Amino acid sequence: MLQSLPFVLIGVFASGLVQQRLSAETLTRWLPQRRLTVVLLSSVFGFVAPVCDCGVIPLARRLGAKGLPAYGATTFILAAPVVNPVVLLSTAFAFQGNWAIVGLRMAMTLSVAIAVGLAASRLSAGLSSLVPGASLERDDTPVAPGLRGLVSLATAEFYDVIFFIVLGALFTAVAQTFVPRGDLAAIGSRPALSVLTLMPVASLLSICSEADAFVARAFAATFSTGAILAFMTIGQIVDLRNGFLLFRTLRARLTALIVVLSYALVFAEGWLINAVMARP
Amino acid sequence: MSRPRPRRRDVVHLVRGGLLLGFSALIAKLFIAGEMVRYMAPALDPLTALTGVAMAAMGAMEIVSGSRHVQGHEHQVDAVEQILTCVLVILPLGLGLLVTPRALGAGALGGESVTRLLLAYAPGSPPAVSGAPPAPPSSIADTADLLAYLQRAGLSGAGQRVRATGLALRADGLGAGEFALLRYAIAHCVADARPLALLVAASGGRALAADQWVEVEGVLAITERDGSRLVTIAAERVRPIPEPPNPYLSAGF
Repeated sequence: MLQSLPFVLIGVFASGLVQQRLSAETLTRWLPQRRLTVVLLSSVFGFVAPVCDCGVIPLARRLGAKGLPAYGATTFILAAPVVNPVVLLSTAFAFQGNWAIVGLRMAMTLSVAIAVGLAASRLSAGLSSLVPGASLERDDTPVAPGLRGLVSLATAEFYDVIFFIVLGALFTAVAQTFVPRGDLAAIGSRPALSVLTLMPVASLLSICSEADAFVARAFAATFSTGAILAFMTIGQIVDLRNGFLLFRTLRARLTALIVVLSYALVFAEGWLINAVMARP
Repeated sequence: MSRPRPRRRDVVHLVRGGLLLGFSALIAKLFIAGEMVRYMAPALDPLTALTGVAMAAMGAMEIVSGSRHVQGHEHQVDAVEQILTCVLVILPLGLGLLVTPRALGAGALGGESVTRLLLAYAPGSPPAVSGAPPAPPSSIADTADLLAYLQRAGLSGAGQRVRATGLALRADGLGAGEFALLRYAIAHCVADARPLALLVAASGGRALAADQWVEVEGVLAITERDGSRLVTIAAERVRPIPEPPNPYLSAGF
């Protein structure tokens, strides 16, 4: 929890800045009309707002409250923790300059985020909307200007999300303490089973996107490349720590869509990478 | 959800401000007591310190705004949710303030086999050449220096005098007189800790307490086992030591 606090603060202050500086009319004017374009732009917005998984949801909630469609917010939530310069560089550092791993990680995350975003855009507006948060109903209520107003907004946002962050941290601590990892290596080289094994491990461990590549590298000696990539992809999309906050932010049906579709796509892509790499 | 009355809003602001100051106090306590390294990588210290300062400022402003009823941004507050949040936040805050954190020990391996963690030379490494090992850039006084030297020298480092510290761990699959020297490497915090171990071959079967930190002095050697060439310290001296101020290695290894 301590580790996530700085990044949560970055997220809530970014959210406060959006509330202070960006009007709903401006966002609506800038937003493209086509759903595909909205999804594509949302998937790479992490390059403009490089927030990790600890801070992405507060910012997405605020953008949603300002008028970004839920499918755009969903795409941003799924893609931004990985598709941003900080995380891509930390992945390159962890894998000692292996840019193929970095590229594959980004491609897997983007493909899943875009696919889920497009699927979400097909849901009816009611099912795919954001859950109205305590302070995040869509409005353009004037807020106090300057630093005092920004801190007030950030504090309110902080208290909207901290309950779920602490709850997620508690569950993650339990999972990290009690989930046995002893026998994982025995199945590490099997193309499908290795992917299937590491995916729930990633969801349970809930490691921050800026640090998970270092843990993934430790698995690299015993697990297939597809499994390692699946670990780094699904761990930032479906994880225990942010799961509670995701349920708080998105409707249950949209959250279920994210979990099911992401798991299916990440498994298929991880297995496909293993199959391609096994060819002579 | 009903809009709270002004008096209840005062209390909410005060409690929120108090909790933010509590987070700030926790961060300050961990730094002052030198305990932050048991949770976080030192590289994150500036960011964590800045977070503490920011939370103190946020807490103070929240308390002041509560007493002054700042206009312009009032939030709807659900009483049950507020109480739940307070209880849930106070729990880790109280634990952090009152309990001295412990560094990860052997129990954090989660059932992982120690023999699988033993550091081995890369399969394609060329055989060691006879002659003196390459000189290290500086004396090898700890495990981090040793790992940096191994990355540079590889198998040719065999014969180099080294000193390393870690948790001594006996395990199934290790011979008489052998133990593993366990360390954890972290990138950000203990949640991403990953274990690594060095094989130590020591003469005599000295009894080692569970989670005992030791300092090993000896020379680098190579042990062939199950098709792997394990990095080994042929120990000349093993002595128990207290836990070092920073028990973790950086994740660069």
